[in-house]
Amino acid sequence: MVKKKQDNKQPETMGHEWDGIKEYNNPIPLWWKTTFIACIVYSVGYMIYYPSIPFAGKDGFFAGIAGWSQFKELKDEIATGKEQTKNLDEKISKLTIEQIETDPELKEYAIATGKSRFAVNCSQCHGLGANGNKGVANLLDDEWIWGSDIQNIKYTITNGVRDYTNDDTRSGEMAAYGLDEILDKKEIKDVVRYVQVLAYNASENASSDRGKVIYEENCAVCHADAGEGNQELGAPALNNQVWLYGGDRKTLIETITEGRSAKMTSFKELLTEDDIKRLVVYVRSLSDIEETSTN
Amino acid sequence: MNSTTPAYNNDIVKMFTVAAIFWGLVGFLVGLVLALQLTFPELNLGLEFTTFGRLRPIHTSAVIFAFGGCVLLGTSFHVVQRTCKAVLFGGKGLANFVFWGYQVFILLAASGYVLGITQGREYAEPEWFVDLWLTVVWVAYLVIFVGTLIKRNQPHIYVANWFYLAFIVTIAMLHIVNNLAIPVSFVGAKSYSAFSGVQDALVQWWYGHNAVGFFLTAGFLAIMYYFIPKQANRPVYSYRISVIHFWSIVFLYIWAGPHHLHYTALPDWAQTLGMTFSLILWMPSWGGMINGIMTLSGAWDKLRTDPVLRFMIVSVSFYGMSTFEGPLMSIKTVNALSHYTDWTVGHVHSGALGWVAFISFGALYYLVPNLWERSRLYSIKLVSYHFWISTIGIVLYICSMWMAGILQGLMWRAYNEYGVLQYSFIETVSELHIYYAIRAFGGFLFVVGAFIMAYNLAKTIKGELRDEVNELDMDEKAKLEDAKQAQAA
Repeated sequence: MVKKKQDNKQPETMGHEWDGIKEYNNPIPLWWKTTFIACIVYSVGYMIYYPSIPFAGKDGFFAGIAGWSQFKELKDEIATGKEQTKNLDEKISKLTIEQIETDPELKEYAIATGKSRFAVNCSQCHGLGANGNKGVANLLDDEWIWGSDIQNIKYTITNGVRDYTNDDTRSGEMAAYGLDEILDKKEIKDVVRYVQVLAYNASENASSDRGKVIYEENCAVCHADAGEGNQELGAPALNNQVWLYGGDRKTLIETITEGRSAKMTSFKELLTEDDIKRLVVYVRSLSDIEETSTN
Repeated sequence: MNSTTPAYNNDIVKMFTVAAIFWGLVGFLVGLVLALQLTFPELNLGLEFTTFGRLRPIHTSAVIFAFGGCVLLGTSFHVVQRTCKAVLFGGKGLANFVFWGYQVFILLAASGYVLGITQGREYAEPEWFVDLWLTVVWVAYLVIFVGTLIKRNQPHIYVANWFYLAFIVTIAMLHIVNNLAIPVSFVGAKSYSAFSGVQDALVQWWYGHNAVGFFLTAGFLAIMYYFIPKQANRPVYSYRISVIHFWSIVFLYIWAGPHHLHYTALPDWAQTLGMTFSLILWMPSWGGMINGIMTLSGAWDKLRTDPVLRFMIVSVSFYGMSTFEGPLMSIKTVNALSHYTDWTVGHVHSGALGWVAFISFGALYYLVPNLWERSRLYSIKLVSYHFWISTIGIVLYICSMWMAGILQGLMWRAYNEYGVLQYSFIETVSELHIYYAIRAFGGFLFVVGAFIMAYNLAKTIKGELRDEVNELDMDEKAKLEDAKQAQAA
């Protein structure tokens, strides 16, 4: 190898050469050494302060002079947080939902904390914005399948809907009129035609007249004569164009043919009584529910 | 080269070089697909084979073990022969076995991922039978390498070979221990790890972090120690630094794994040690950066005219940046924010794209004309394009992931005035869309650059030269004329 420029300032090489590669023996920069030592010193200090050396000390490791542990840190943080909201939490615990809703400060707190519980427990099905999904109730509108008053919402959250792990769950299923051969295809189409009359004021015709008869025999017992629905049975109203599964003809035929029995988890074992209170207040705050109490 | 130069086995280096280019393109492309899937989830096509979970190990294995592995094995065979003045131990047969054995390993691993055959251990996904096969291949590789070192015709072992040897030996140890498992049956793919619970996690991250330390750092430092002095035609800056930083890296890296398990079931004392060893590792890592960059002292002007050298030097700069960022992220309080976020993804890619891939590109650009005995690359201009396009891609990638990661971390820990979490998880996900789009675009630029390289290298192998005389300065023109005459003669 021929070097073009010979730099006289460069130190001697080590005297070896591998495939044309030589090595200088420049000293290690001072800033490198200083920083290296500083890192070591800092680390040793850190190891004295925090738990570090295994097989040393009564816990099986040296616990550090700070008395720190990650579990203690967690416990302390939770304790601090609980302390901050202690007064409000006690009130939530002591008061009824009706009382909570009449205290503006407490209501705001219940809504804020209820919202986070909703995000964790409810949003998976109802959506973060609580606007529901196919087969999952929209909680923003004024239409309630099982009732909008405090006790009903609380009951629904506590015991769930068709969650038969809980004996108190909301039950009541819509039969599969087609699959169970209660109605034939033509009859189902006639009923759908009549439901369209109830829901959309569609013009009456021969089909809807036949459907009306079938409706009164099979459906009215739950959904009521004029399609007002029945919250005690969880039978949605059919006369207001709010649909759980969809109000187009195809979906209506599917609903009557196959029946519907969507489930909601019973939160009795999953949430505390206080959490459910917060959720009730939050859910009620989403829509314009006028009355505060029915009892 | 003089008459005493032995007849080196160049074929094996050529094979690994071509394989590295191929696997690089595959790995980068799958990475781009994944980045797009994260931006537009519909792109998983609704098929089990093309979901993110199955493609991700293909990307990571393809870039680390297929691309990176072929570069490491290829360059190590190139370097060890030349710096030992000895042909490979074990002859052509053993070297060819290592090449084809390694390719079989890659194919077995990748096909398993698509079919859902996986141990579920990050960066160690292949099942027991693939692991056993790799062990055989790796031992053969170790035998070749050590055998060649033993029969060297040089008094001393060059620093690059220290790093290669550390890489080969440590990877063997990591691979075997982390993959200890009991197969459910000898005719089935499934196995269960020998470890469980937090011990399992610790072994996995002892492996995972040292795969970074010894595969992606020590191995590629070896590449740096040979190819930068060769390309720059300058002596290595400091022998002293190389001794100190070699031993300190090798000693310290192996203890740093627990920093992947901060605030978990891992005992506090182990977390502390993982963090402190990572912090102390900062300067040893930078020793390599100093030696890489300062080797150029007295020849800085070459950076202006030689884009291959530019790749190498920028790669060492990225190495310096990620080895600063790493210790920073290992600090408990920083980690509490950064862990599980895209900041980690960005950190990995500043190392993987900036350091590992760039030093590999530099080595490939050096190797191809050298091995196929061309006077120069087909086009220097295209190397320049590759450099700038890829660099912009990396910057977009890293910056978008910094922003995404910090935003994500802050949103996860945000409390409202009543001490409850401000955001649900899905809200933090939808916030990231724009950053994912920028990341995907950065990745796209990186892929474009890689294809430019593949084209340039293919043309070089074919023996073509692009006439670029008018685009170069006088100095370079003269060199080019010399080269042309040499080619003609």
